[in-house]
Amino acid sequence: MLESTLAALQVMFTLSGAFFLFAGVVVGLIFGIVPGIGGTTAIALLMPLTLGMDPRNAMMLMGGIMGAVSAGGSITSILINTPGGAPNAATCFDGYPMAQQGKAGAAIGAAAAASTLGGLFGIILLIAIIPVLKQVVLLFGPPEFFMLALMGLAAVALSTGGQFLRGLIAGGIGLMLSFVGYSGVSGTVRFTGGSEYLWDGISLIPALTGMFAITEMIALSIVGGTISKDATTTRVTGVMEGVWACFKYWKTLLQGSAIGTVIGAIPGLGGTVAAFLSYTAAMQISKSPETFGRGNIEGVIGPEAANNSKDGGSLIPTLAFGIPGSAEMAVFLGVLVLIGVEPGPMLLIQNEGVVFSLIIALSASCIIATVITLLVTRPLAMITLVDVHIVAPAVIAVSLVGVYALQNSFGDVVMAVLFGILGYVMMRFGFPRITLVIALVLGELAERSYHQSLRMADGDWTVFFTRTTSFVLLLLTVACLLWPAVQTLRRRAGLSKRAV
Amino acid sequence: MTFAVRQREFWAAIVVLALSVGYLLWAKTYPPAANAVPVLVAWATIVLSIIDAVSQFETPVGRWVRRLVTAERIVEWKMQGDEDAPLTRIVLAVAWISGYLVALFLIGFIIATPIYIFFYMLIHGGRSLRDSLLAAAGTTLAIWLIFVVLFRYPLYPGVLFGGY
Repeated sequence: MLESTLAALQVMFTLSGAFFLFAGVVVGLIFGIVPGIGGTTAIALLMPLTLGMDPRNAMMLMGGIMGAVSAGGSITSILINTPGGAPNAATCFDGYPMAQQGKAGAAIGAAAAASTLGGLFGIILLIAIIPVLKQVVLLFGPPEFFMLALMGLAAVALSTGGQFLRGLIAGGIGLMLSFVGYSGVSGTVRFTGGSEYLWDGISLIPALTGMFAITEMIALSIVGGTISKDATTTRVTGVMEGVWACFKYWKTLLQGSAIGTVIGAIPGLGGTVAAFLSYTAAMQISKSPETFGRGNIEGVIGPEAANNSKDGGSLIPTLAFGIPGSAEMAVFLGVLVLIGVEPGPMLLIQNEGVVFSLIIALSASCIIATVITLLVTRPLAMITLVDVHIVAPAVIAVSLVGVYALQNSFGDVVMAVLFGILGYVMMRFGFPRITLVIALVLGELAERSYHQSLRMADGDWTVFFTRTTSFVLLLLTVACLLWPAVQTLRRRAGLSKRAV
Repeated sequence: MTFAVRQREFWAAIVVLALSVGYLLWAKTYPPAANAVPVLVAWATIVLSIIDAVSQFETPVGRWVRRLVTAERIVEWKMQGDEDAPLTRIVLAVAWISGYLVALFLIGFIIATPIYIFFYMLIHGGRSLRDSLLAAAGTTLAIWLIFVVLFRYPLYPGVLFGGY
């Protein structure tokens, strides 16, 4: 482990490693600041560039993006009350009132420092848990992986809240699409409609680029105008006061970091849940909870720490089991495929160097993004004043060129556009894209594990229930599926009691 | 939620149901080893789509099902204003990208990209001639420098110029 860490550090200090890390941080900050696009689109957009790149340099680029996105999102939350992404929304509650009171600098300082420290906390926990994970992974057989895939899908659908049912349906559609092409299990070519292009199945990269980069650009071009209407004139001073506040309120910081890491590790929950949960928890331990929502700096520290620490947590299921817990992680798995690293249970064992390059890049990115944030906050916030009609065609063009460059296949370009339109249709009709994408990634694993399990047990399907880990995963899947109904029934029971 | 929206949701569920039934019938044409999991998934999606369709009815059963399968919180990020976007804007946005795709197929990236960006910004975005020209030239130059010069990726030339 130490050897891999040192090797990763060496890469970071080479000219190319430092360049890709810095480029990732800058892209991450910009995409974090622009509301509605965020880290997933940034990774999807730059994914084609990683083709043929040294895997460790590719990890520098990706780590740079992942660590910087949430730092970027907090700037606009504080200055113009417009969160860069949903996870930054909790920062608005106290960050914007602080800016209105002339304490924008302190709020940004606190957000930046909390992001860095929270991010580092998550990474340290990830490093600590890697040796244990290696052992756990070896305990998993095909039935467990089948159940894990089902549980991942159910958990992600659950996280979409009001769209739970449509989340499951989108998961079904994603699985159906994942079965297109040659089946390694049966040796049959399926659902291609005679198209030779589809023999290899639906390529993940065009699908992901379409679903995120292109869908978001279609949505942006429909809305039109500038992203923000408010060129704030707030002065940004007193930054260090905010940085010191993180140490003063260390309990809030630690609590937020712990919440973020744990929530991040659970597939489907992610940054938004972590940030809001951390905000509520910060309020509970605060000595002045009545000032929350009116500019309490603890209301900035808690969610920002959770928002960045979730990255370390969300890498746990992604790296250990190949189960992406979020859209960002699903796209990141696409990057791994592209650089020739097979995501899945053996990743931690066979490609420790790549994993540690990512960890080092993520840590460095947290720090670099904070420094940049503190130095150039105001010019960064001005990015939101750019007309979306300049951003959209440029991003679409670059995405499609990148998709074509992967395999020199025009079919990939068509596929990316089709998925872009499909993504927009899904967005309009309330079908969460994230479950479709995660199902597309997990489909092959689920089908292979299903057949392997049955072969292992001579066709006896009880193999999924008779092994302890598999059974526990099944129970968790059922719990995820029943959770919305249980919640509704509990709410109704509560209402009836109150009425009596 | 208005009646109109419910109708829209209902028809969305019916479309998915029809597609899933079609997929199931298609899956059945493959040998058992190849269709086991696809058939399973198709059936699950059919059942879920039926529940979805039923939940769109303004009847006691529909309302009960809706309450059971939804919660109050929607996490996915939504663009402000996008919810009420008129159909013409949506059709236009899709038409622009489809037009770009056709142009790419015919004349390739290096010619289609500046044309697309220029006309998109000028007509759809209402930007000035100078801004549109600058953005079109700048983006194409950046694409050429990054992909062709730096990474040495050949770009699609278009069927009219030898692409296939």
